[in-house]
Amino acid sequence: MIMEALSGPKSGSWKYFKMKLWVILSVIGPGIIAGTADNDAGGIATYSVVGASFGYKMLWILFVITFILAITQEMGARLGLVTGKGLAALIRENFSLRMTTLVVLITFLANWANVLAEYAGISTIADIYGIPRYVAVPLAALLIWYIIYKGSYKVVQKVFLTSALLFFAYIIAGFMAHPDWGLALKGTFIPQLEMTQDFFYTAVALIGTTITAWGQFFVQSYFVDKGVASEHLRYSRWDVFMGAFWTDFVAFFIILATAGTLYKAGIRIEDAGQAAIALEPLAGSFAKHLFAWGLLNASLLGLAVVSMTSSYVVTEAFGWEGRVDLKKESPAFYKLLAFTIFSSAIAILIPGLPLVPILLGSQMLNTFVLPVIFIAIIKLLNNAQLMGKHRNSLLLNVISWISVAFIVFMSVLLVYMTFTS
Amino acid sequence: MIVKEREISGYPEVTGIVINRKGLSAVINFVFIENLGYGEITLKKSDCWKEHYELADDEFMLARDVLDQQIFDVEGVRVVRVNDIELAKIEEKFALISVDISNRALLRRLGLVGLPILRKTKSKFIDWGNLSVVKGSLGNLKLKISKAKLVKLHPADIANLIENLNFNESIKLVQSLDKETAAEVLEEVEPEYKDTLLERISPKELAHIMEEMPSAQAADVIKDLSEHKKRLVFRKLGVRKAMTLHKLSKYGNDVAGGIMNPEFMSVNKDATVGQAISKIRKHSDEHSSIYHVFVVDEGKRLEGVVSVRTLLLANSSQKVNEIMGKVIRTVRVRTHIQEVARVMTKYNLMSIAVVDKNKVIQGLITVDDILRFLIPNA
Repeated sequence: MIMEALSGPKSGSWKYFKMKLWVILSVIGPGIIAGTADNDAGGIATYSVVGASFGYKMLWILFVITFILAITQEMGARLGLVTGKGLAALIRENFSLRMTTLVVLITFLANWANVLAEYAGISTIADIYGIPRYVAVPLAALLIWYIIYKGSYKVVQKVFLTSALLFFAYIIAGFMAHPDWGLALKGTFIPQLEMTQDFFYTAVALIGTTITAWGQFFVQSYFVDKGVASEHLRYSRWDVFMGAFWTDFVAFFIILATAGTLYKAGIRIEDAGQAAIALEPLAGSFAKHLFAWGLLNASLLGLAVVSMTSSYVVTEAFGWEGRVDLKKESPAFYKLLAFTIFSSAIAILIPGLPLVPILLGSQMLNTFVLPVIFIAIIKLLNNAQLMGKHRNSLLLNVISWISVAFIVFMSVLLVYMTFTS
Repeated sequence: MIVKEREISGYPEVTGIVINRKGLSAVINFVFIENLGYGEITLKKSDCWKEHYELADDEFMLARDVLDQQIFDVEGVRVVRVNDIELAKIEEKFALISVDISNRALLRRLGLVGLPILRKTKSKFIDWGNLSVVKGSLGNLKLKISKAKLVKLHPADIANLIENLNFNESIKLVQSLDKETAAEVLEEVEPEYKDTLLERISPKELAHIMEEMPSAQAADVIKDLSEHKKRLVFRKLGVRKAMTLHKLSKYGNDVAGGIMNPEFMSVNKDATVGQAISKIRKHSDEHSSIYHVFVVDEGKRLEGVVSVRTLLLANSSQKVNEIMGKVIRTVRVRTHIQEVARVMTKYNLMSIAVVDKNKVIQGLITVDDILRFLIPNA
């Protein structure tokens, strides 16, 4: 119908352009947010390690991942826009109840552990600035809860988009590290390998942190929650592509930031907090602060997005209401959200919590559920009754299957390597 | 299992069974089925299945279209999914009588019957009579309150319902209503929601709806539209309606001219009571309520007013200017509504005439219009 309204002014005129811009601006958001949220605490840590341990050698993998991320997120957005339903809802309606239960249960558990990782990121920052964890973690939990519980969809989206823009801090940090741009360019476009187990393990982790089960659930549900009409698929596609680009553009600069400094100096790190501290003597205290605040921002966005995903998945599967703009009608959504946010906040504060095994476990669950949901997605995208003219073409199917096969292979490899090393 | 909509006592009758074996699927017509039992179905004869079966328009498949599907409540809010289905034998036939929405059904289907918590949970059934299957935009079936039930609702209630739906759903709903109801519903929708909704209804459709609206409300709608949309709608409107609306939409929402109704009942001062009454009879369907008839001279200048009651009691051959009240309260088109309300309250008026500086009558404001202004969100 908007398209009809648009048919008025002559195309090419300033008025036409303004109106078109308005439509685009009202549609975009979910894609950028869903993409950027993949750069959560775990993502930042992985990128920092990639740069510090292997310099510019893995940038080409990031280049490939950008395309895969764009393809998978587009599939989610298309499914959501055309059917008006989230992925969990579609799985329940089109596949067996057993499969639905299994997928929902695993995703919920894996997400819970993932939220734990976001809190770990927040704790790291708290440690750097000497703030007690017992203050920082509950504050973060309350803040995120307050925003999603009190805010309308519009407000929540604005907060998320602002957060997505704040990732710009890493681009500045990347420049401050004075990276070798020639090597960076070479690393991006010419594939390089190092025949060590460590290299492969890190490469696989790089893919695993970007393409996730929760990311796939989130992008679709968030589009559905917004209520974007299917005639705006074109704009939503651009939204998703911009999201994929921005996500890995930021990741690129994080890798540069540690490659230009830590890698050059031969300093090895294991997480993003260590990266921030190690940056100080090499790139100045401003770089350290940028890195630290960037991590805080990433952890908070991740915390919000992953918690919301759990609520979306469960409410969709059971057929309960779960829309940010329908708070009163969505009690289950908010109960689940409160459970995820607060139970994991309490858990992270338990002294001596075995965080590493929990995160490895979460990674494994993710690996189990990834092939299942991607196969489901491709099957759904080929369902003519569901998708109509938007179903996958042969070309899209080939691209989808290749991407999915790649993701599945890599994540299985990740689990295998975790257990053999 | 295939069922036909509404066959036995209002419940869908089971008309066939789909069997899947080794990738082949076939349909058995239910007339060949001897008995439905636990885990086995006995047939009356062998080789009675058809491999190619076209679903009739009023047939749907239980497993595909009902089981695990979403149930919406009256307000379009997702409530729960269909966790199981209950069939029963009525008049020697099987029919779908209710759906189970309990967690118990869910656990049972997952094979967790032995769990101790199962004994504590209860089945919750919704009678099929309370549900209806409507074809969704994509040709799949959804469970929702029936449209028949919806149409019986008051426009104000439909408006509330629309505010609770998401945009796509609410626009679909508005479009599914007949134009007259749609007009009434749009009058009732909350202002901030209305703006966005209106922008998304096509100009043609909007023009059709506006033709059905009283001019005052239609003018309100026009005022809320963007300049561009306004022009498109005007192009689709009939000339007379467009002229009236154009005139009305010049006034602000807070002055008499902005809320007045330009369609009022007036008679010439030389008319008889009988003529006045027959005019009321003839035009009554154009007005929501008629309390007064205005008496005007040749130049449409207001001379007096006569209430319907006075007309009814008078002799039909009397002239209206003999029985009309000559002292009449009027307001000007630019009078603020607060002032209009004050005047009407002070003199206990049900309606008041709006005139221009030459005393030419422009429109009419009733208490309803004032109330709508004072309590906009009711």
